[in-house]
Amino acid sequence: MNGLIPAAAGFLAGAAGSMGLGGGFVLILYLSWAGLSPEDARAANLLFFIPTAIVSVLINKRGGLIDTRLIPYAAAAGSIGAVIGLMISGAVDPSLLRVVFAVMIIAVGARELFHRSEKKSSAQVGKPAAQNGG
Amino acid sequence: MNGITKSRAAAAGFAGGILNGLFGSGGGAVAVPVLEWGNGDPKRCHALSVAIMFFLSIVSTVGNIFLGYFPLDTVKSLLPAGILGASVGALALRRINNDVLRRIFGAFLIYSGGRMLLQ
Repeated sequence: MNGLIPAAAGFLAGAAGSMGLGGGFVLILYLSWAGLSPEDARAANLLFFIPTAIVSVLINKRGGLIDTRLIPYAAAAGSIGAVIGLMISGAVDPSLLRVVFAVMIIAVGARELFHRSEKKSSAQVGKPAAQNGG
Repeated sequence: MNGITKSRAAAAGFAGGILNGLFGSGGGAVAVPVLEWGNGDPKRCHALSVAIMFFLSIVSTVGNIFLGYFPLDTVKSLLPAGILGASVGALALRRINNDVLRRIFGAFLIYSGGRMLLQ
């Protein structure tokens, strides 16, 4: 039982992270529950993500889901963004930014959660064509 | 076909980087919507966001090492299950329905946003 909970947390965090669903929230929840400080939990989450992301990227590359030519552009811009983000966090109170960002991702999340199903929209588009074809 | 241009990938990396730099996490929550904005295929957007977050996690981990946070033992104990989970997750990403993927991601974003508001 003692080994089961960390194994389940690791598995779920690995699976969610590998699917780009944000496995961090699973692992940080577990590590906080296990008694780690927020700083250690965040650091462990980032460190954990590195090898699991390698597995995910390799499998997704083989499956044709990743165009590796895009990665250098994203990585270079991401590194610049991370430095700018760090500079902003030192200059501005992050708590206000946190609220703005939280509201923004809730809005985007609601749009994703309640988006119009692809099947429905393609069925509507496809209907007249199917009738013509028949 | 892909729906993701180089400039879109750079914009997603930049936005994700800013969020990670600001809060230490949250980059993926913004990288995927930025990629999808350009009509990107959801599966490809999620797969690319993992690659983006991989690089950002390395940058953040190096920063954490300088700050004295390097919980290697904790991570080592979770890693075997994590690698197995990552393999299952990556294979599931190929097969999952795009609508289901977007709805699960939406629920995750709402949950994460709610937690951020309560912090």
